[in-house]
Amino acid sequence: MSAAGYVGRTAGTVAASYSIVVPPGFVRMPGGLDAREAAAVVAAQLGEPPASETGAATPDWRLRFGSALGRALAADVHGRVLDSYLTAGPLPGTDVVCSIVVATVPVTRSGHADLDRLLLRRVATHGAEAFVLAGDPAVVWDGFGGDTASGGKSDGGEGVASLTPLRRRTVLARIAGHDDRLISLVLTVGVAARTEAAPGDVDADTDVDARGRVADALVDVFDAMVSTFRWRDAESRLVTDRPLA
Amino acid sequence: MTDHDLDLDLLIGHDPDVWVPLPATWPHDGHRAPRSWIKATVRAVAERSEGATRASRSWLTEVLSALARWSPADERRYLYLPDIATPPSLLRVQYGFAQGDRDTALRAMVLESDLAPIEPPVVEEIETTDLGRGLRGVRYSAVDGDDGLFATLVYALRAEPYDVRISCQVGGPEGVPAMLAEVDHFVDGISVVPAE
Repeated sequence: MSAAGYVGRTAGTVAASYSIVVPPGFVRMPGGLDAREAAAVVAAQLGEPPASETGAATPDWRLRFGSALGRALAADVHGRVLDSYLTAGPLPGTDVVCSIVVATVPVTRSGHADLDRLLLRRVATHGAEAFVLAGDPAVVWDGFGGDTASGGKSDGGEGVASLTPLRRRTVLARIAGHDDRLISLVLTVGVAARTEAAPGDVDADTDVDARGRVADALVDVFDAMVSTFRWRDAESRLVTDRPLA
Repeated sequence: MTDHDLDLDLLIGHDPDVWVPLPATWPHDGHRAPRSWIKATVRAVAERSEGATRASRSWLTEVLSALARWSPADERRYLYLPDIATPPSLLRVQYGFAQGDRDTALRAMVLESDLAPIEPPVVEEIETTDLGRGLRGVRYSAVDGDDGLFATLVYALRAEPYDVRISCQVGGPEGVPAMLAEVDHFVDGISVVPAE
């Protein structure tokens, strides 16, 4: 489908949605779905039939996507997830999976706490770095400590295959034209459950260093994806800061 | 324009191991007609490729046949083809007599295109050995029927008496970093010389 074009950013720009470039190998799962709907959406993108009533496709499904999918859903405790992007199973030749969850974070404003100050506080409390996301102030930090915007540090939850986290990187940013919410993009890189390794996957003794390098590479991919993040206005036009002529 | 200007020509120094110059007129590169040129080119590319197959040879023959039939004026075309298995990139060098303010003209050459970008490209300044400073942009477009993005590298230089625009279709964004290095090098090999 052709893009709806672009428009230069002005003081009156109000973001209605966003766009981001997603590399091959990721599947997108819209927010607001329950687990069954989410599974069907992801399966459709992978060109596989969704898990059948008989459950014939379920074991493979659970092994390949269960932990990442479950994790993404479990993170959305407030139902504010816009989209999740998941690797389509462990990266080939590894047992590493990752998810990126994009969510809005409602913020109550008061005379003492504006949004910029809230972001800046992450610099002090989380060692965050300030940067600009699609023309708006943003911060980014690594690590699992403290609260994350998309629902805290819950590690999956009941019924979700365990996932050993390797990296987490969180972006928190202002949204063009809105002063009552922020947006967060949370990258989680993890190791799929060892006990449930799919047949043909590498064994559990994958070189730890190699796994670390894969995780670092995924962090780089995440940063590259974040650099493609743009707001879209109510007419779905991409909002750009770049000179138009 | 003075008579002196008209006696100048673009000299494009390219690496024949990776770039195949496409015909604008015949004879071309010692060949009087497309058939022998296509045959010789396919053989040369296959020889430098590991794993050239009958299928890849016939595919390349088809690609070159199509390109040999299309010869726009005031344009020179090259195919990036280091290996028969590498997806080829078409590079076009378009040039005409320089007109108007340099900066405005060069920016327009980078920014304007038939294929609308999803966002205006970032325009960077580049430095070349013989043609001096110019502009470069990477344009990303959405193509109907395809989820992915299509990247094109665009360069603009004023090389008196000409304005020169070089564009190279890269395919997916993942090919951009490698092709930037290749095309930067290609552009650096262009100069303006007295016509023979």
